[in-house]
Amino acid sequence: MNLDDEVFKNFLVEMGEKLEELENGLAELEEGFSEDLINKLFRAVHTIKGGGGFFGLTKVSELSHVFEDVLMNVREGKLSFGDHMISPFYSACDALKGMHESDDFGNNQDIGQLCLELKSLETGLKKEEDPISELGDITDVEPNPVSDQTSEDDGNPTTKTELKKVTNKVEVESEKVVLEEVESKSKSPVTKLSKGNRAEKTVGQNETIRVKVDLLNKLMELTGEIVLGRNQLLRQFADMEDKSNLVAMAHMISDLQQLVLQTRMQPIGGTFTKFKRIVRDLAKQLDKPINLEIKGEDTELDRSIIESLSDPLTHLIRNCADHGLEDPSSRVSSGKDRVGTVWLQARHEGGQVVITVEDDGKGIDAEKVKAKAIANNVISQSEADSMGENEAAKLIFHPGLSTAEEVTSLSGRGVGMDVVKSTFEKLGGAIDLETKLGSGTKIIIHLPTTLTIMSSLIVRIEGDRYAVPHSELKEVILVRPEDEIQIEEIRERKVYRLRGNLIPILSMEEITSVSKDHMVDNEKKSDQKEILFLVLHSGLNQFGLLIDSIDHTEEIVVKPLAQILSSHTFYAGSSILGDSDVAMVLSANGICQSHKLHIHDLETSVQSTKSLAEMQILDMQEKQDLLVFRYSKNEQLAIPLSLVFKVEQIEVKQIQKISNNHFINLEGKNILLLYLDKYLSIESLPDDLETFYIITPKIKDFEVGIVASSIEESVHTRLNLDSPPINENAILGITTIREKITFLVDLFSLAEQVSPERFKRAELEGKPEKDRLLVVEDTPFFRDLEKTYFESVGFRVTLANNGQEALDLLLDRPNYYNLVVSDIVMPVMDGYELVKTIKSSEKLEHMPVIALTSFTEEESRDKALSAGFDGYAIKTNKENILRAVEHFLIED
Amino acid sequence: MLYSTFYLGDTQMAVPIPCILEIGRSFKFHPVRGAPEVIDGIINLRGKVVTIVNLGLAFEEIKIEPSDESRILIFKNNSELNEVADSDTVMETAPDNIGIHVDRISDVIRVESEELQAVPSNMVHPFYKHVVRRGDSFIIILEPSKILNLHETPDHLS
Repeated sequence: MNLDDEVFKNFLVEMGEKLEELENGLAELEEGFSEDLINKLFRAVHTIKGGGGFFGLTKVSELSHVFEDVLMNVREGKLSFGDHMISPFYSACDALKGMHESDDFGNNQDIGQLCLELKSLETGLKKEEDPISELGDITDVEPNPVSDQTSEDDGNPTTKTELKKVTNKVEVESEKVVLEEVESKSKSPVTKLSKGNRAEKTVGQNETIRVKVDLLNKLMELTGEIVLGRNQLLRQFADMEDKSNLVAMAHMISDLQQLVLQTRMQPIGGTFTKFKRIVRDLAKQLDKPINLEIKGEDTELDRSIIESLSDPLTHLIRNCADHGLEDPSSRVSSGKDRVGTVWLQARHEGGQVVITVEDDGKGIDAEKVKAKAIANNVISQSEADSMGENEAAKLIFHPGLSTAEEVTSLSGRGVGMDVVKSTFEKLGGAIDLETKLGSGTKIIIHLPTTLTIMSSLIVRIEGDRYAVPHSELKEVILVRPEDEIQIEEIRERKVYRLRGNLIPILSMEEITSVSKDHMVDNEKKSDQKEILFLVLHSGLNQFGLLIDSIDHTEEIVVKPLAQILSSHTFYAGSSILGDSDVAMVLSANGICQSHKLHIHDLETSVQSTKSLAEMQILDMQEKQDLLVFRYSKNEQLAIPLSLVFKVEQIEVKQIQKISNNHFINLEGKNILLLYLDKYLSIESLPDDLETFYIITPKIKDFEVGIVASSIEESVHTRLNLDSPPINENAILGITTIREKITFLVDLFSLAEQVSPERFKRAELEGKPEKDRLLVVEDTPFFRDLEKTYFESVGFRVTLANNGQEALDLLLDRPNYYNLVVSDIVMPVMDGYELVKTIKSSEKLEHMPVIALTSFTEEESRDKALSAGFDGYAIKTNKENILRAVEHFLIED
Repeated sequence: MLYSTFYLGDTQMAVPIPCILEIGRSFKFHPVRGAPEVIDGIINLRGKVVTIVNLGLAFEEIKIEPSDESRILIFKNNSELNEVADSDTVMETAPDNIGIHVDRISDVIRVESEELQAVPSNMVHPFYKHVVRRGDSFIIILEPSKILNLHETPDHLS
């Protein structure tokens, strides 16, 4: 799909959301005026205006511009707010809504009257005409001025038995947005054209149709089977020479799978928004002022997961409000803000979605929980004594414990947290908790994005094969006999020191309590041999699982276990592999639970993980995960693990040669093989290889397989980069890994060398080091758009949602970013304030900051430059946005 | 109703044919490590994963080893069964497709409902439903829902 089409659709969705915000805001405004509210309205209208202007929806941007002006004047205090303003505001909001829903986005609508009315507010003149009647006029005009009914229908309605399609085309300057064709059949001959027309329009305007969930589920299931069938076919015919048809089909199946997966993905925002009301109601009921901060509404999750989230999250938020936050008076006396804050956030992290619910309340009193747990015979006194604060607080997830001293109507009936926990666990997720007495509680929930098709690593353990979902897999570790760090045994429990953390190491024997006979001598042998284990994680818990070997990676469809086996929670289900064998799918969650790892063994590791996380922040610049591999026999190479999508083992005979290029077919995709000696001055690949590895990088539009003769390991190391002694474009630098000189390959410049036309960083070639942008933008759609644009020309982009976030990022790594590109109108901290803070900070004063905004007036440019911005550009189109940044960096 | 009969050791047993999805042999069992011994493993039945119960072990007798004669009776799951349900008889299997591993199969027999006899009180067993006389011998008619839902009678899983 065309990027602009996609972006336009996103904008329409966003505009719908903003309109809703606007309407809600107006309702609040009716109850009472506040500056925050006006700011909110202003931002909503501003976003609509920006997008409207960007896509050439002239009337939308015209009306919102006038509307914005009025709001701005109110905001800046030039105009005092009065109740007479509300109804024109409503009219404008309704008119915008009408435009949003109409086929031509109001481009042919007359809004002169309405604009006049809004403008008249500025001059303080009140129109005598009743605005509501005008609104009536507008909505009457609106229905469908341009839906182009074909002339046959008009001329000969009775002979038509079928109402033909209506194609809506909106041509806006050079941008063409073609809405989906809507075909609708009506059984009776068209007697009332207008009626038929209207019915069609309702279907067409949102470009959506209702589909039964059941149907989607079946579609999903079937697609899963097809994917499976494809894997089997590909394997069955791997040796055939001409399999172009098969490959073509495999391609389509990959696409199909993606699309079907998408049909079930929904942003979590819908669920989040309703908490605003819940919190408002709670605040009233409990008589505590509460502020709810929501972040990451656009994080997408499988529909079925989203549906089950609502209840447990409501419970958690109620808990925050009821138990977490103190009364305003006790808050003030403990030196906190009167208004308590609850943060609700969602974000993607390593193939999972992380949701956090956090409050700045009084935290959980570990002693109280312990006392109660002892009273209820949940734990013994001695267990209680050995528990840390977080560990004890986690007891609230135990059935039958609730900390509220008195039961309120909201929460505290002693059921709840255990139900919340089991709900998340049923979804394949995990829940964790951090608390600090006096300063708040944070609940962290890890969830899989989708339940049905998972990319997994197939491993062998003592003769059987198991699938391990990538989302639960952190890393694979090989311990050689000569390595410094070995698996150690403490009181018959194996542990491994992983970067300062002791993690428990489990074997399949311990997990299943079944030992296999042939294993005994295997184990004896392995004492002198290499040991391989996977590091799996469930929530914040991690543990190692001993394996014998790694087979391959495969997209698997997880089938639930029969009920007869359902008590075996360490399995997530079973799956049929490409070679028709059945493998059990391991569940890191289940293993943690069935081994009670989360209570004792791991508490220490969680805590040290935390401190490790803090450590990592300190030296994030230098410490990196690297994948170390070899091309020729002697030279060691490395690339950042974060840029690796997949590593696969390949047999030489699988390579297909087309003209001078070598290709390989992997899961339906033809991947170009990249031989590094063509681009780097290194020795060539050994001739006698039968199998080798290909590394697929995670770079957009760069679908190649980098050939490696062997994969050494992945290391987490502090990177001391020496600049390369030879002038080699694709080498970032030289470092020493395990006492061997290692070249760090620069994938971006490699990509540039391979397909220069796609990765045209030529304009910036003189300053390749100046490529780190911090983009600050509150509107998700502009944020993504700018990111896509900048990344398409080779910048490395970090995103921030508002000024405050940007500032935190900047202060964290003051020398990391080369340029800040910021919007002006944003919540929390706007662009002016951000730039002022940056320019007045000692550490950051030299950081160039560009304003990228939808303000079009000259006046704003001056205002921006005088506020300290180094540049000013208007978000009108791709070229403009890119030019702003490139010019700046080149001039610099 | 038609019944499919099979042997466990020397005992002839039967289950109603409408409950059966198919009867197969020589499947490749994939062991489920950690599962109760009574589970032979899981198999891939044309894309379906089916769990197999060893009937010998379910009766706490001798384990049935795969042989030329041994067969797997794969049962329909409840929803498949509902699709062909005939209103006269209410039958139930299990929520999932489960197979039972038996020593060998025998004839299909027709049993009229008046031939069904109660299980004599000295041989009552949770799995038994009725007894039918055929010539000199008895055939035990099993209750599939009991065998296929062993997890509900935990004794058999320990």
